[in-house]
Amino acid sequence: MGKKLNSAFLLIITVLTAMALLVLAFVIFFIVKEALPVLETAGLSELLTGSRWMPVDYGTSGGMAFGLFNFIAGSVAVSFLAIVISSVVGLGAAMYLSCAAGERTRAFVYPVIDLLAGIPSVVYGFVGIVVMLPLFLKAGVHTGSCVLAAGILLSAMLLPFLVSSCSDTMLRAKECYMPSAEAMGISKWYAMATIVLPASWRNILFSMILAVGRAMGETMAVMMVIGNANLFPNILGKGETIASVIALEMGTAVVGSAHYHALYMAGLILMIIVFFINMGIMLLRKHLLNRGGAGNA
Amino acid sequence: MKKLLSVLICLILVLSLAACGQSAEGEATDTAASDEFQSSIMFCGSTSLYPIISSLASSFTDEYEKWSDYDASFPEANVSIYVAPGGSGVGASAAIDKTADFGMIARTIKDEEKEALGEGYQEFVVARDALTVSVNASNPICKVKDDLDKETIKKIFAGEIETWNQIDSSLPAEKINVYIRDLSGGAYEVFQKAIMGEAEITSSATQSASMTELATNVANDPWGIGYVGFGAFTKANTDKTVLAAMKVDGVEANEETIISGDYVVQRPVMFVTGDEISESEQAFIDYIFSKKGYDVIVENGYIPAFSA
Amino acid sequence: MLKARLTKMWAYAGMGLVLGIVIFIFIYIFAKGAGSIDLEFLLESPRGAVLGMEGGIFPAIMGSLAFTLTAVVLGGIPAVATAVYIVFICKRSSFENIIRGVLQCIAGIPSIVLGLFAYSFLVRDLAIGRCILASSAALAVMIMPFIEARVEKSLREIPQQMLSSSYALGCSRGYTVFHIALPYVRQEIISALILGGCFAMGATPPLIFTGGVAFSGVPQTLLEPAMALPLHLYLLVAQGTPSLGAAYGTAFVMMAVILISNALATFYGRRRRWK
Repeated sequence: MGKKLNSAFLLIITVLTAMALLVLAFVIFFIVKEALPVLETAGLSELLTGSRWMPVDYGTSGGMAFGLFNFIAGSVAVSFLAIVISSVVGLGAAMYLSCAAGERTRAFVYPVIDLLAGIPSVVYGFVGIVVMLPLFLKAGVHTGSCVLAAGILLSAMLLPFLVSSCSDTMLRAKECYMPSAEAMGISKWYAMATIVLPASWRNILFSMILAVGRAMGETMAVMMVIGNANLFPNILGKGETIASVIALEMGTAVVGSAHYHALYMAGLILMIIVFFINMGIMLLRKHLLNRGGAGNA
Repeated sequence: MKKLLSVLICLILVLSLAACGQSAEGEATDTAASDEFQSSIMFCGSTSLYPIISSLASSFTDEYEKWSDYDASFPEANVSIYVAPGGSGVGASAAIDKTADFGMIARTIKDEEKEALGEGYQEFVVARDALTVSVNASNPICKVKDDLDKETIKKIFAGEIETWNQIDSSLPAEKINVYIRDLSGGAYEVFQKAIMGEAEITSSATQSASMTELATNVANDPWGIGYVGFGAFTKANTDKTVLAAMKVDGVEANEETIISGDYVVQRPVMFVTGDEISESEQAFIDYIFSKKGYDVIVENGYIPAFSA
Repeated sequence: MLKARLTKMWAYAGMGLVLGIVIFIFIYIFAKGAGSIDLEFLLESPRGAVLGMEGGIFPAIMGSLAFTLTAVVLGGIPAVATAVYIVFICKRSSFENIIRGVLQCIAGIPSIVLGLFAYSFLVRDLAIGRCILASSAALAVMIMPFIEARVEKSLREIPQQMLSSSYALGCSRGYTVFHIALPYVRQEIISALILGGCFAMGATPPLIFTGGVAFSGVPQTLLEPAMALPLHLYLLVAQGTPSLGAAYGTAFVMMAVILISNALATFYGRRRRWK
């Protein structure tokens, strides 16, 4: 292999990267460009705090309105609920994997849990509709669709990520402290509860926040079970998320209309929220890492 | 084993690249031939109409694999008919943007849409559909009332009447749950125009992504009410009665009143285009308006707008 | 000691629940779907007055294959290139941060918005029409950060020793990357591509407005629209009871693909990951 070929290869890599970056940057630019015109019709404060959503002029007395507040609240509520449920279950599993399971069990269980991440979200929605909604219906929730149902579905989708990142953290903390704990004759589970968990809580919290970012953008599964009503989310009530508004209404929106731009704006807001969560975590992690601390790596 | 797999994957990648190349060629010949013959037809839009069209597209392609099978004078090109669901709004804009040959719409066409489609505008009304004001069949209201006037319906959907006992004092004080289609459905607009007028539908109403879903929702909620489409209503009620439709201003929704126009909350189910109809398109349109089409429309619960 | 016992209970319950969920979903779909699966279902077009009630899902299987492969080719190559660039070529950390920022941003875009982008820009503005290519472009953008992150991670895990030895022997950077680094992580790259493909295969939102249709034949070129398994499942569910059997069958096929792909990916990626 000649030198020329080698440098050509490096060049190709660089060009491909540059192209990929340009395309990705263009996607972001395009979304921003399509979102901004809505500000001519509705102010930012109306978009963020208004809760009336009437994006098409049907000649109703109130006229058009572009309040995204309930949708934003819906996205946040569902994600939050999902994280809480997922953390409780996932932390338990992570503790088991890092403390009770041996090398072999882990090598087998990780890929099995990873399967949850691979299941398409329509399948989650489908299982939600045929299995979970009838249960909620029996429990007295009208039609069965509710924010809680969406939260439960979403929590299952987040489990693989939470379990693997939490158990990684705990394994590290365990390696750090367990030998001394064992030397002092403290039981495995007691050490887990009093030493390993407190030592890794910070990284666990990071993982939880990162998972929020992942949860916010989920469309299909949530849309299929949340009921889609423009209401402030209530745990057994219906709600609607940003992603489901876009999926449900983009079809109608006449290109170039305020409705169309408003939906792009909704997407942009979602994107910004997730971006800040991710960036915040990155900065925070760097900051905390510089100060050091056990269990961090 | 590993080697075999990587070879296999490479092969797939190369093949798909080849497919890309081929597709470019295929496209070139396609455009050359398109002056003479259009072998693929694209429908896009209403979730109410797409099951009918896609079912017909399926049986049409089963019957005629190549266009030459349909008519010996047609070239030997594969029959490809695509049906993309999305809602009436999508249908109209797809026909206007020319991203589809036909836009499927389940409402009357708006003037500005008609204008945007230009001189060549044509519409093909396939069926008629009505919006029934349906409640759950187990709701006690079925025993005391079978008729609601427009004003009451309007108040219910606007959220001014919130409990069943406000409609009739003998009913329990349960909350009324309102079910509607999402904004992209043609039904939303039809109902707004026919019943609501200037009033706005309550924001607590649950949106469904299709008429079938709407019907299922009302069928599952003893205190629900919703504008279930006539097609979805008859389909939901085939086995046993799960939904009960209220008369609107004394007019019951049935085939007769819908065709005569006495039942006001109704809409055409149609597809539109702004382009000239090609030979192949005409062939498929003829197929839609045939006996076969008639049967499929009836099977889907709608009232055909033509006689077989 | 109560604390210890509670923690232990929590751990076992959590683990049991997680495994329970996985097993339940798979068994439920497999048990309910098995009845619909036969050769006709796999190899025929959907039919029936309510489409999908009779017939099969062959065009959807082929369509999904086309969407997924195109997306993996379109998204995988730049993803691997970017990962190599970040790890081996990029020298300025400010530039690396920009790349990372853009990738983070893209990873944060909900897939429905990517579908929107593909519709507005590719289908309408560039007028390539509703087609596989448009959807796959959206899918490719979606899976790129996903594949990049995995490849980058495996590249960073290459023993530094190996690379320094190569440099010490006077090999150029290009030679080292191409002959030492990439072959070393080949399996991880394949595993990342497979998982990325799975991710793309299961995604519905980017298809809705772009190249996914309710009915079509088997796609012949990338410039025509096609059916896809997840979209077909969504539409079957929306159609209600008559097509529920076919819905279970479609879900069955998708879950089987996921299971096989994940097994493959684990097999390929296992070498260092669980050490």
